[in-house]
Amino acid sequence: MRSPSARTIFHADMDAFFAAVEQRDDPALRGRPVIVGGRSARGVVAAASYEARVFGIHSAMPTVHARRLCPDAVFVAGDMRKYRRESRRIFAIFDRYSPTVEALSLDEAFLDMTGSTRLLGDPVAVATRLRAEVRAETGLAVSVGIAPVKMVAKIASDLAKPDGLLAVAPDEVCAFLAPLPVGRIFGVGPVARARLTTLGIATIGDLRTIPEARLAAALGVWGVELACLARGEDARAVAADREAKSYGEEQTFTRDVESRERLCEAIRAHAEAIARRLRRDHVRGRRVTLKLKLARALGGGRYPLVTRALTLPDATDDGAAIAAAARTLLVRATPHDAIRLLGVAVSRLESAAGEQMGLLATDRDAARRARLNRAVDTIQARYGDAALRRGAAPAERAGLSQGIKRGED
Amino acid sequence: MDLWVEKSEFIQGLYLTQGVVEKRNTLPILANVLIESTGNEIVLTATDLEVGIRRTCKGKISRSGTVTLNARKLYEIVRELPADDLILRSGEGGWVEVIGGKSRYRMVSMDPKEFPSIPASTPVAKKAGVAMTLSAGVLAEMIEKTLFAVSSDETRLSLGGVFIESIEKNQIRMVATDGHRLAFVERQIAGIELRPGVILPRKGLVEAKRLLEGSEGDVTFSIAGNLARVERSGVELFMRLIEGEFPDYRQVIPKESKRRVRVDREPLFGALHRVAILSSERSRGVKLRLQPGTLEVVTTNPDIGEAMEEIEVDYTGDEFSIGFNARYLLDVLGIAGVTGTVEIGLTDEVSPGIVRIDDDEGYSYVVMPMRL
Repeated sequence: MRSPSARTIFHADMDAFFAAVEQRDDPALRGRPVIVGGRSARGVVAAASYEARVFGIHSAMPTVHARRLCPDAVFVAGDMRKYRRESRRIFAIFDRYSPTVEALSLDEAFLDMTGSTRLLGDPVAVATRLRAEVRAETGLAVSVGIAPVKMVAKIASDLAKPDGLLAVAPDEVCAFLAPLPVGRIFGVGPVARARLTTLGIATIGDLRTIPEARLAAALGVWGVELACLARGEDARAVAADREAKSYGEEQTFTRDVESRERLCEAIRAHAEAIARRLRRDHVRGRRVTLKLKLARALGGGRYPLVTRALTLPDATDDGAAIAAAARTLLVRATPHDAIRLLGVAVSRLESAAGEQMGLLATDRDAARRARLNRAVDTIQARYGDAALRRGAAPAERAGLSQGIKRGED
Repeated sequence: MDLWVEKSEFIQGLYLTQGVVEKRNTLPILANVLIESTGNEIVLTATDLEVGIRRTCKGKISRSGTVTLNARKLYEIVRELPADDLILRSGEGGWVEVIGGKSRYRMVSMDPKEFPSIPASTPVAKKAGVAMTLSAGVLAEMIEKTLFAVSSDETRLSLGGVFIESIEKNQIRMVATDGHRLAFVERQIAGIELRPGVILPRKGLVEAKRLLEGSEGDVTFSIAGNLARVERSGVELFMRLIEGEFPDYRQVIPKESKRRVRVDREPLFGALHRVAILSSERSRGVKLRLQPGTLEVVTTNPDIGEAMEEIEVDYTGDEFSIGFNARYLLDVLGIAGVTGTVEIGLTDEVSPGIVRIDDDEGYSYVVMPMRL
């Protein structure tokens, strides 16, 4: 029986999203192991087709490693712009089904269907229709998990993959979770798992047999949360925060970079790309963050990460202003090491209405640049990005750059 | 070290160190005040490497010596002590006793050798720089009328301070801008000259204001090398000049305006202040609508609501409206008490407005409009 307060939540997750888009657009890739990621010696796997996953390849794995596992795989550099465009189409479909859609990334979202199923009918039938619609309109497969809480919906969609649908009714939640390993719970990583193993806990079912107080003693406040999650209690609501919180671009260099000039080139490329997206969305950002991954390896594929941020007195959508701020941050970070990855992000966004005019000659320049930016945007929108490019555009284009981050600060 | 000092004398010195000591705690020693005692003088020094202050107090020293103590803690302790005078005595292992009446505190001294040196208190040689004497009140007023317009933009360091220069003899100017508005003050003072101009850092001027609070008489202001120094009896304040070029401010001050409005400061301040409550929190945009005899202050915020206030003004021109960041106007209307009159010169909705207070020819405040 469904209690009146029970919610119905969908977790919709595109299957091997980037790889699936590539396979859709290039018939030669269909049925073959496809790996999307930096093609250089340095890159990591951004997405792997199901054919590639058979070989044990998964995302975030170094490309070099993937190549060793499957030398015959097709490596594709990836096109973030295209994936973003696809993402917008997919979310437009999600929006038809629920007013409350929480994007987790470009290809994954929670939909609160509590009200919608009353209107649209049985959740499973609705999910089937949603999946068919995504398939028909984009040619891509989406898996859907249905459950009364977010965590369970996410686990369900994961188990439903590929191209599947799995519904967990409210009274089935406990039975559904019991045999699953604790690592399935979001936030339980290797460290927590090790600690739980010492308590004799391997499955989510085991977790329920341990008194909450013991969990709290072993894991602190989080232990209590974990006990709740193990019972399938997850009070987190679907947050329909569709507005981007930050715009970022980043790039792992083909070779570690020491030259300040090269770093500044990368900064400019990122800043311009971010600025263009800000202008397209009619927003401006006030906070600029620079992210540097140093080349000095820490082992285990990890590298020291340095981030620096500053707040501009005025929100901007101008690439030159963003680049200037990022360069200031680069000086401030004074990295002595070579740089493996450089990223720029702009946050604290606001609507572009209410523009303060500048007083000084440099600000008048900014006004002129704003007019120039608008003109460039218009031309690029009509004739494509290659039609017009800033002088001394960097040789190394941003590769698989990061998308809009939602729900993050 | 073993010394006796009057609490009131000591506390005045410690008070001046409070704004100077380093807050971010990058170098622990910079959170400390250096206390040196010789003869019958106690010298308190604090610095964050950009700004430094040195204050001399009178006391009785039975054993001279030098210690450094946490400036915040020492100030708080001394302020609260129910005694009229204090004893500071250093002992074994870097401990310093602070004794007032029946209260005894022991604090840890850091090694004074770690304390950065700040320039010795020798008068600036004529050759090495410039030195001038002016009234503390005038200097305080000039700082107050410009400091608020200093930029907080971390990417435009040269706007992070107040520019000070003379264009001719017996005259001095201070200018500050953040790129949206500019505050300019000029005063005639006999015997003064500063050429070329320099940029004084915001933090140094905040401390200078504190130093000049309620003081009468003259102060010495001097520049030598990359340091500026403000000196009054027993206190010296140093600040490192900001390097870089200050923008050409003369270009941006409008020579004349097409439209002129005269209005009492108080009602305009009140109306702006209230209407701004409903303006966008980020841009603080308000619209000024002028008609002969009246000024409407208006804001529309689709998320919250609308506000409109009407005030009587002295204006005979045509109907005209222009947008401004309310804060930029409130800043200038609020300086030195909200009394007297203000004259606002406007040309069109994209040109800078100019604000003058109480017909002071030596003061101009220029502010760029907003597109609303």
